[in-house]
Amino acid sequence: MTEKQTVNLKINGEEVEAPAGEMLIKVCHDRGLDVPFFCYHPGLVPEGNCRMCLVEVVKAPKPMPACTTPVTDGMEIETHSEAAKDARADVLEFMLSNHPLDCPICDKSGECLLQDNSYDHGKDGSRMVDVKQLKPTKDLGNGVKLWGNRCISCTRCVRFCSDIAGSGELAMVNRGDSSVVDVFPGYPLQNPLSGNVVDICPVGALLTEVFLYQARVWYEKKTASVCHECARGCNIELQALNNEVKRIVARHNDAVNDYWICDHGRYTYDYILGPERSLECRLGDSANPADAPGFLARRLKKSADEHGADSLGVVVSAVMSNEALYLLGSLLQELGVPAENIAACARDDGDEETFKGGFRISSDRNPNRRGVEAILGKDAFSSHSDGLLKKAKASKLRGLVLVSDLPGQRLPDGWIEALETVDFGLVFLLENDSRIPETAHLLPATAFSERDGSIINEDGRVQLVRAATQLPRGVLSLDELLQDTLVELGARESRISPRGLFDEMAGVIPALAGMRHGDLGEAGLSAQGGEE
Amino acid sequence: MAEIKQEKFEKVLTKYVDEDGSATLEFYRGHGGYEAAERVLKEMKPGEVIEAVKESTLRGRGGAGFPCGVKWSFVPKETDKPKYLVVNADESEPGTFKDRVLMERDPHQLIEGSIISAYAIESHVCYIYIRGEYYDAFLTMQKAIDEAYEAGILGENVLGTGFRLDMTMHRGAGAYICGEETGLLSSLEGKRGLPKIKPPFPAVEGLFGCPTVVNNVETLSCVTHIFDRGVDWFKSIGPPEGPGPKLLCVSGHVERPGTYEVPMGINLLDLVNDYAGGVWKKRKLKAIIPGGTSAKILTAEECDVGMDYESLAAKDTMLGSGGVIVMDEKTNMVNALYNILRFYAHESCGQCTPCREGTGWLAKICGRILHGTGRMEDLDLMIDLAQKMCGRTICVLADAAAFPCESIVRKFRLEFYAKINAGAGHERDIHTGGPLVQPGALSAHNQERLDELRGGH
Ligand SMILES: Cc1cc2nc3c(=O)[nH]c(=O)nc-3n(C[C@H](O)[C@H](O)[C@H](O)COP(=O)(O)O)c2cc1C
Ligand code: SF4
Ligand code: SF4
Repeated sequence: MTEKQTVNLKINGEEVEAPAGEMLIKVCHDRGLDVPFFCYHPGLVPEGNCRMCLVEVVKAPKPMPACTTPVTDGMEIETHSEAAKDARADVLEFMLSNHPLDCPICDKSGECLLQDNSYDHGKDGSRMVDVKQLKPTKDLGNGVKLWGNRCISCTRCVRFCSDIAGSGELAMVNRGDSSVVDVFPGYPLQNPLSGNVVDICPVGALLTEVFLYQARVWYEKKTASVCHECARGCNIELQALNNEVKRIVARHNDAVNDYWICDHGRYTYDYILGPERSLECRLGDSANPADAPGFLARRLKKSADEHGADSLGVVVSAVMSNEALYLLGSLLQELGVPAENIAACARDDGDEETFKGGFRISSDRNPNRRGVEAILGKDAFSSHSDGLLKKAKASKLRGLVLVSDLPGQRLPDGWIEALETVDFGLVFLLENDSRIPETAHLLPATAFSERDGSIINEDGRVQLVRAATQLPRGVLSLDELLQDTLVELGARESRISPRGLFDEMAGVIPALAGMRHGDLGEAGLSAQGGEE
Repeated sequence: MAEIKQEKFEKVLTKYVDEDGSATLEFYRGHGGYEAAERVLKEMKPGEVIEAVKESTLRGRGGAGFPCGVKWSFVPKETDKPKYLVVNADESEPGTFKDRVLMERDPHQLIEGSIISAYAIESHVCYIYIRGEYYDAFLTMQKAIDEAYEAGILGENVLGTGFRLDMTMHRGAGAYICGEETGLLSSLEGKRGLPKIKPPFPAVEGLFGCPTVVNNVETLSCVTHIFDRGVDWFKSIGPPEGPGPKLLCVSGHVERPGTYEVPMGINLLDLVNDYAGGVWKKRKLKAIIPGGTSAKILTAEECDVGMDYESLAAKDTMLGSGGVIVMDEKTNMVNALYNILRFYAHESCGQCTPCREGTGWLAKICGRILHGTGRMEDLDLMIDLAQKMCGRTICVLADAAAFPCESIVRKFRLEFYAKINAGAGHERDIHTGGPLVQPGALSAHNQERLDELRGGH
């Protein structure tokens, strides 16, 4: 096909222009029309098997499935005629005829397409008095459990495994009303994207073991955020109950991750409230976090005054938000610390993986490497680090602030040794680290799920991170602490909101030039000089 | 309708099937075999072959009755993709056993028809998808194909004309749905035999995404004779809307069941009485299913009808696969319907909601009525469900289950009443108002599952 052509059709009597070849369901959904579905998923190849999206095509002898019917010129569609509504209500009756009505004990309840569609489009009452089909309940692998009785044979999960993950572990077995999803004996579900099948299963047939019976989904607080496990920055939704992250699910973003996330990102949230989480506050004589801003301002100033600003060093991490990096940068600037004294500690590389459907896990496990580079310069990871370590070895470093907030990864030994040589050492610590000397001061670091801010992914896309839970008792917001410290030093007037902070930062950092917090929205924006 | 008596009609498709050695190449050539193909390949252009078949009004013998030449003309001319001819030899419609005779007794007739057809659509690869249970037919066909290769009738240089054609057999594994053309193609591709949404039709996007023509064994066998005896000869037999010789498989309660070659349009009662020896045991006729179990049933009074596409359509049924199932007065229609419905419930591929759930549901209700726990409202429920399955699925298996169900319940309602009344008085489930499940009514699948869950103990 050459140029993208458009066709003109009529939907419910209204003239509509749509790109040629576009599926009817998309055109309807784009216009806000409620055309219900089960097997259709915008990220998968349509199969048209559930028959829920049947609409009336004027002059066609039969109702047509909107998900597999391309729009054509002159087509006339009725999505809500009696014929169309009846066809869909009938499909629902068939759908429910063998479905166990076990919503009260089903984890999907509250976010189940079958529940929603039944309320919106179904009939009341049931004419089914016969014995329902029984299908297996079993583990499929990777912590995914199958409740066969609930499966509506939509094949979303099957298509995901074959077309997106490319591993094809799942298949429909048996025929007729015995049809159900299964794996081949000895070949369990084991692809690194397997958790997505739970997200896309329209009913409670596929559930994750770790979330099972953990929460009623309507009680959960849902927060749009960004995964911090690699430099892709996949869009996620954090779901929390009573201030505990209960699960992470994928959030749609065409520019980054489509509809998917990897299992690593999905299942890495245990450290947030894990047994290793450090909550210790050790500020000289005080164990009170409220003393932190004053303490920090005093000690840094003292160190700079006594030994010169060049004797101060800071090590940041590439999971910190742009805002924290920016504030730390301005704090050091205020004290006159040279730029090369700010080093960044990267997370170890992992394996790069690309899947059949194009989904990619980056080998770079630093969610905000681009942010560090944009705010502190490209050398932060390399020459700054080397220089700072050398200085420490030569006993020229007198004050050192370390941010050790990499989940599952402790700081390299070199920095711990450096801590021993300085007069003033302070560590923002996420997870306990027994190597840290008694003489060093400690403050708890925040986890990514506890803060608002922004990060930049490897393609240069700026995306918002949002706090899904409140800070655990004793943990301070790093952004607020740094602002308060700057206030103590007389460099800022007062604390401002994350929104104001971003806009201020965008005015200073060239990579963010022209951006406004309000424009980032759910999907983020491509940064200046980004590769998109 | 044409009233041609048995002896006056000259058989062509099954002319030699009773003779010794009819399956060999020597026999076939000895009776003028492959002359038509040679003439066509040497003297006609592919387009002319398609035009001739269009002109003959040959309609598909597999079930849908689609005009053969028209289907061929949908194959795109300008394409750099390979084109395929696929012979549908899955013959699995209950009551149908005509393709079997053709393959077991006259395999070269099919090969010749396939050569002509492949030439017409410019295909160089022909697959024969044969029903797995037809092992003898498979061996015979394979032998004939081997012979044809050896004699230069298949291969690089078909009959010395320079036309290239390879022919390969593929055996099915016993699924009815693999007779549906798109299900067949999925199966041939090595996948589960799942039908696909049309359009795109196979002629445009079929096997491995390439243009593909799927034709029934009998359809392709007819092609041989259209070019052997001429288009005019073909059109002289039966009604103009769908002429030609037709194989009809008579089974059920008749004296002489079997495959009979008749002129299209023969009266159904003549077929039963003159060819099949009439209803057996001197009993009275109750009903006939005229075109395989997927066709709507005809009561005895409705059986005075021509066996051709249009006449049967006028009686709201169809010629279908040509499987004529005769039922005598002692037939229990509830039992008959239960048998049919169990078949469709078992054979639904399970993709489409109305078919997957509807076929099993209908079978359960019918089984319940048969086992004495039916309710009067079940009859309207069955008709309603059947109607709601029609026209809403990927393939027409759902319709094929709904047609016999709706027609049998409507036309033989009293028999269903009788069964229900005989079982009346049974206690009801106090929660649902439904009948209590009786011994024997638990679905076979559930029993299997329970066995499995018990780990064989
Ligand atoms: C459920 C189902 C089963 C079918 N089984 C067969 C079959 O066994 N043999 C056959 O020739 N056609 C069968 N058909 C019809 C085919 O889909 C197709 O129409 C036919 O092969 C086309 O060939 P024809 O035009 O020569 O008849 C079946 C159709 C359906 C819906
Ligand atoms: S398990 Fe869920 S996603 Fe998979 S086929 Fe069944 S209902 Fe669809
Ligand atoms: S109608 Fe039935 S057999 Fe045909 S594709 Fe749908 S589920 Fe399969």
